[in-house]
Amino acid sequence: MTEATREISSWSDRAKSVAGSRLQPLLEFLRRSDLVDLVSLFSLFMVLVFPFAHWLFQITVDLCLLFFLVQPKAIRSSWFWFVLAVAASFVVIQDWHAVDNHKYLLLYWLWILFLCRAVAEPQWQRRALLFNARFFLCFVFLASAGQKLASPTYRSGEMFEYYLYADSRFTAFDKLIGIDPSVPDAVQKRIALFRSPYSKPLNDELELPGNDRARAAGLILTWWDALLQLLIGLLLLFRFNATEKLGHILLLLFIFTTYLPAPIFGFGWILAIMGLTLAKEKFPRIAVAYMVSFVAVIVYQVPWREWVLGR
Amino acid sequence: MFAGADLWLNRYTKIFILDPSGNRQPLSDFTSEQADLLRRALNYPIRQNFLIAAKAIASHHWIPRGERRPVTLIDLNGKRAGTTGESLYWMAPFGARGPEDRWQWPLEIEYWKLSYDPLTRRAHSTLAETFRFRPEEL
Repeated sequence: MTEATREISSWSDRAKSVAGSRLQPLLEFLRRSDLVDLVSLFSLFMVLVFPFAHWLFQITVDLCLLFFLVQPKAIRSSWFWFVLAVAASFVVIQDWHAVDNHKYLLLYWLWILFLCRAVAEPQWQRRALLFNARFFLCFVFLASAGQKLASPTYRSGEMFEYYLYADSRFTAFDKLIGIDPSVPDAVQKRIALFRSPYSKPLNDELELPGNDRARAAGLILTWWDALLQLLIGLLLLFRFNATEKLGHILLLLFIFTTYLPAPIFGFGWILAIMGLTLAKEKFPRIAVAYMVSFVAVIVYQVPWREWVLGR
Repeated sequence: MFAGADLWLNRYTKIFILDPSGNRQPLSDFTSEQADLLRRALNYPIRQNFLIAAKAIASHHWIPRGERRPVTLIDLNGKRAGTTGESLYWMAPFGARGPEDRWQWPLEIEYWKLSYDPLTRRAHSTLAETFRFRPEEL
């Protein structure tokens, strides 16, 4: 062993030891916590931070939080979750055509927490939560991958390339991967000619001033996203330790990489809660990683797009 | 999300008020509420949702701003290639309409879709549907 190798090995051992000692309190916290209580706690935090955008739901959440702070055991009551689920249902029914996909998932999750708490036997509460977390993770990822793979406009890369040009939320991400902001800017100006009532493109057709890098990035994003989601759904379907562990690692990779460019933070949180539910007892270290992902998704809300674009 | 290219980002509307002589004048400068309702309608483009947006649009007075503007023909590279011979006013909102003011004009909402061919880098727009709303509906 050379001097350099010995030094790297010793540095790696020290890093592992420091990481291990830092992880210990979190692992201990996880070990001591009841699964249903822990998931309820994170779910309450989620509806508080990423609520349905409607006054009724926001007031309901505020009151529930107040009630919980005064009487922490309230979180174990089925009524607590029933009130939240009913308020969420009201908002979704009223605004069904405009509600984002992940808000429907949040609604289901609130009803699951209610049903879970309505069951008296703690063992059945735990089993109901585990079953539903696995069901929804597999369903969400397999249905999403299936829909993507069945769509010609997804498979061609058209969708992501167009996103990189036309969706201003991606402009900072474009810059990070080497696409100059002038490219999406020029494309958006060209597209505006379609939208204006004072201009009429001949044959309703225009050439968009895109570039090869955006094309390549669009194709990479297309297949990365579809295959990653397909793998997560398939791996979590089976209950073998090895496949499930890999499924969790890929789900964490998905959460850490997707919700930085895509500002759908509530979606990231609910997926992480479901992952934590499955991992808490079987893979405590992975459960800690899900808790880190909670923090990451919140931190992703920093105005990094403005910083990257220098605005 | 991210399941195909047919989504709100590729959809847009052109909205016209029909004057007494049957000419169409395009509306612009929508309020944030009207723009939000139009965005929602594009997310789920059914007549019922466009009617909600149309009602919000009809809750304001609209007046022509400035002179008529010619409609320009645009070539594939976005350059001016002539005019269509048609000219239109720029209709902008002018205050909220009171409950006693009856809305008298039909509204027309054209719902367009864009498709993009990554191989030729050409975008093509298609008029998907035109929704017409009678004054009494609004």
